Amino acid sequence: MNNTTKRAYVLYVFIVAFLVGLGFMLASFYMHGNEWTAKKVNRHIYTNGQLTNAGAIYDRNGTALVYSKDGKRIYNESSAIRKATLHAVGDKSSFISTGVQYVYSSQLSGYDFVNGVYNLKKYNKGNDINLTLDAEICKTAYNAMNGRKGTIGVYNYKTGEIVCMVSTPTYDPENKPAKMDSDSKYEGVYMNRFLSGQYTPGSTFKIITAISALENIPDIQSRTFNCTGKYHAADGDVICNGVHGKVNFEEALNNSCNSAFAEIAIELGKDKLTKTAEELGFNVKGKIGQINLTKSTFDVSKAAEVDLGWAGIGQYTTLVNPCRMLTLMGAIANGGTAIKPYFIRSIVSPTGVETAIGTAEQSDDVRIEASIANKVNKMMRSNVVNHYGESTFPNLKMCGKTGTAQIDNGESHSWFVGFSQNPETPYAVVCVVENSGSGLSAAGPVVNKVMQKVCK
Amino acid sequence: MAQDNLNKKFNWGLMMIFVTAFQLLTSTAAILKNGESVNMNLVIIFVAYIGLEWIYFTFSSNIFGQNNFELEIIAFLFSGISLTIVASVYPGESMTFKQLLSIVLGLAVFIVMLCVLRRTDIVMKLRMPVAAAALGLLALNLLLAKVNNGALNWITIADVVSIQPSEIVKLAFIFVGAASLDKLQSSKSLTKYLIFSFTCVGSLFLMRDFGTALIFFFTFIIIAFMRSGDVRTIALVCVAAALGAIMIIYFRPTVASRFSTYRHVWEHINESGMQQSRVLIYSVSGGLFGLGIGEGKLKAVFASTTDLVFGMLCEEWGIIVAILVVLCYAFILFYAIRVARTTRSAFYAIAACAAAGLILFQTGLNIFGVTDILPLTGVTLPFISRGGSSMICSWGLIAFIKSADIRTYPKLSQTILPDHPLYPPDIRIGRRNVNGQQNGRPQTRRSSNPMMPIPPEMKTEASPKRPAKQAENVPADIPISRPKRAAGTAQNTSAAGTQRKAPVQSKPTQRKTTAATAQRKTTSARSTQPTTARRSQAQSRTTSSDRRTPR
Repeated sequence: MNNTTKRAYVLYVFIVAFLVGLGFMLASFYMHGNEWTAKKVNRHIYTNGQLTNAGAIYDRNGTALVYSKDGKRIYNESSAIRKATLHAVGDKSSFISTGVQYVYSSQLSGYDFVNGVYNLKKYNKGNDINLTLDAEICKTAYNAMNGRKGTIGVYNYKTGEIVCMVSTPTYDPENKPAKMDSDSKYEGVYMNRFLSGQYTPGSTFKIITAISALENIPDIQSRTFNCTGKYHAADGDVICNGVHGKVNFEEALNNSCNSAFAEIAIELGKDKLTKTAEELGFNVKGKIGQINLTKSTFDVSKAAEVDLGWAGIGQYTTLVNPCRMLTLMGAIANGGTAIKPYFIRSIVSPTGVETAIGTAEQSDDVRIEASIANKVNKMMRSNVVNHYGESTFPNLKMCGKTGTAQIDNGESHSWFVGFSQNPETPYAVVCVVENSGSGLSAAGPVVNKVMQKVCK
Repeated sequence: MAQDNLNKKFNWGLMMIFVTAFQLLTSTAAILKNGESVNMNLVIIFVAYIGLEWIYFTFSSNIFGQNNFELEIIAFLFSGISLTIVASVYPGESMTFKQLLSIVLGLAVFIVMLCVLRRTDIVMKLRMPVAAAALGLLALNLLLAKVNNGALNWITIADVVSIQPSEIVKLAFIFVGAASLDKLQSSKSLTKYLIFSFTCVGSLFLMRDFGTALIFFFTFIIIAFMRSGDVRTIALVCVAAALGAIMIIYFRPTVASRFSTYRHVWEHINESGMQQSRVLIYSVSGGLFGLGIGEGKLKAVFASTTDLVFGMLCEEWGIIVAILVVLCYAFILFYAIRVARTTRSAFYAIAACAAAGLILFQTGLNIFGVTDILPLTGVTLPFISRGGSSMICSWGLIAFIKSADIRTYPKLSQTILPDHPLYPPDIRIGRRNVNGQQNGRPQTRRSSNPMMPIPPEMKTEASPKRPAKQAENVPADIPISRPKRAAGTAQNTSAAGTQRKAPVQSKPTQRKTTAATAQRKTTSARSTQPTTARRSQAQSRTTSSDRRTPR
């Protein structure tokens, strides 16, 4: 044996190093393949940054919201449906970061590690995605918004299916307005306000304060409050929307009495109110499938007493995400058990194999005791019966709470949150109409139009 | 053992049929994808290519009696892949024809080099001219070069042919490095080689071809280590090189920008990270089985058939094929290390390992560079990247490995008389084997090791199991020195060495200062060995290797 040849054995180390590198490469292919194929520069899926080849997206009735044909991405033929479902489906250039087309692009392309995007080549389509949305209901909701900014979401609180999710402003993806980006009319057009919006809750937050009171103050339902038009806290006043005089707990909620709820909030204190808020989904990150929701935030750690009073009626720094608010409505309507909302039902492979994505699933983020949920449920029903008027929502057995969220500049945002008590129409609803004044006048009719369509 | 099995059982004809079937399949796909109608010229090109393979195979197996085709099969497979990729990407047939010409040239270089390398005397004579030519070529390159993709490493002749001299110099670099073995102990020879190496690497730096400079450096390390085994010097050289590299990164913004992209390609997806990000995206898009030849999108990206060709393999041919191809590169080095044990002299061992190491190192730089595991250096994938210089260099490199395999020249062994004074049996071995032992191991180790194929000639001469054979073939005066000879030969890499000693002694110009001389003196009895004795030994080798072949 010769030294020179023995030295050659050192090269085995080099072979091993090479094979390790190869293994590392394969491992990264396996782990990041999904993410890499979904890049907008992948010309199997995108052309000039626009999604062209991918599976179709259908609504709950099998209406194609968008599909690919001959290297073109084609949206639904109705302009109103295109606009109403734009944020759910996603735009062509993937500016809407919560759109199914963007978040589920690797599924739509049919990518998997073994086949790559071969199915897209072979069948000229990837996986299809079925949504739980109803295009017609979305269209109704879009029309009901009547050009105002805001959002509306409706979901079945028994099954979790979102049937309506509209965010405005929106635009027609097949006919994109030219100067959209500089036009204030289209401000925040790429944001799905239902999933990513954060709004001052206004009086709708009184539901959370009420739940906290029911949890922590044993005699709250027999208490009375005297409203003089404002509540004197130690370091300031909380102004009420009227002079309600002597009201009990239920009447305070009916009248949305700021004085009473500021008093309750201050009595509860920061810790108890924060604890309840966090049990109801505040300060917690949430997701719908792979889509991230914006957090609802409630932070009174630095609040003065009067600030806590304001926080108790949904002002101060509190911000809520409409989708999280909808989940809370579902929990109240469903006897304390919150079912997670979802709008992506299933993925269908090119060979027709359907894989469920969304199912009725209990939410861990929102927890209410059944007895308290039922009490709040009754109080919200009495809001409609005694205050808003049953005729506002005919035949729906509607429960609800309005909100008029005062914002720093501009007119208040109009809120309505609620649900139908009817066992045949177990739908909860959330609606925000921006800069439109009082809750009942602006959001109320929108909710009624949509709910009538949903429950038809 | 594995090699023996290959010789006995492996049906290379069948293997060629498989390769042909694969190439027919893939080339058909490429031709069909190339245009609306079938381009008959492409059909002719592929038929010609497959015909070329079969002509080579038939000639070398039937006329030259070769029975080992590992390297050629791999090279043919790779060349065929490159030809198919070129045909599938470029419309018309001119590019494909160019590539076929490159392969023909490469094969010609391969055959010529095999013939030259067979004759060690010629190798020794060519050493200095080749070194001078290599330096001249690099100098010419520096004078004439045009800037091409940020590097100056191209010479364009009459606007028709552009060649990359650094590819050709790779062959010269190994040739000179392995052939400068004569003065192993002399620091002067090492200095000469160092000067040669650093002139080569330095010119490449001036050309801003850092990838190739790195390849040269790595090859230099292999050669220097295998020649001297001097870990200290090599460590010193590496440290110096590392310092140099740091300086370059500091002073050369183009190189620094490559490093800023490294591991951050997604942040520079449309600028400096464009090539890597596209390779990654399209490699995974292809999946394990690929999208089909001509179906990919990476082909539209700049340098897709050259630097990024690995991505095209993944995307269109599938990750499995790409991995198998890459494993073949690793096999080439594995094979080289194995044949290095049975070479006729250290020249072959060093040349084979350096060439195979170079191939695998360049492969690593290429595939890990484009997949962002290493910084991108813009080197080609041997054989598969489009381009004549790269193709010729790749074929030339495997000629070094092939020539190291003792089975390469079976029927010509009678005429192989590697009796040049510069090729005594390895000098260091000679010295150590005076005691009949090496590293304290008993000398019989070689023949008792089942992993070690015993060269047929050695079985005849030295194996204790065949005393009768020796008696038949070896003249009577040989046994006089038998005890010492046997010790040396059994330990030695090749029996050819036993014959070299006679002319060594007869040459008056032979250096006396080398350690080998000591042993030669002890075996001086052989200098009186008549020529007929040598002839008969050669015959005995021939007969034994003939016996080996058809079994």
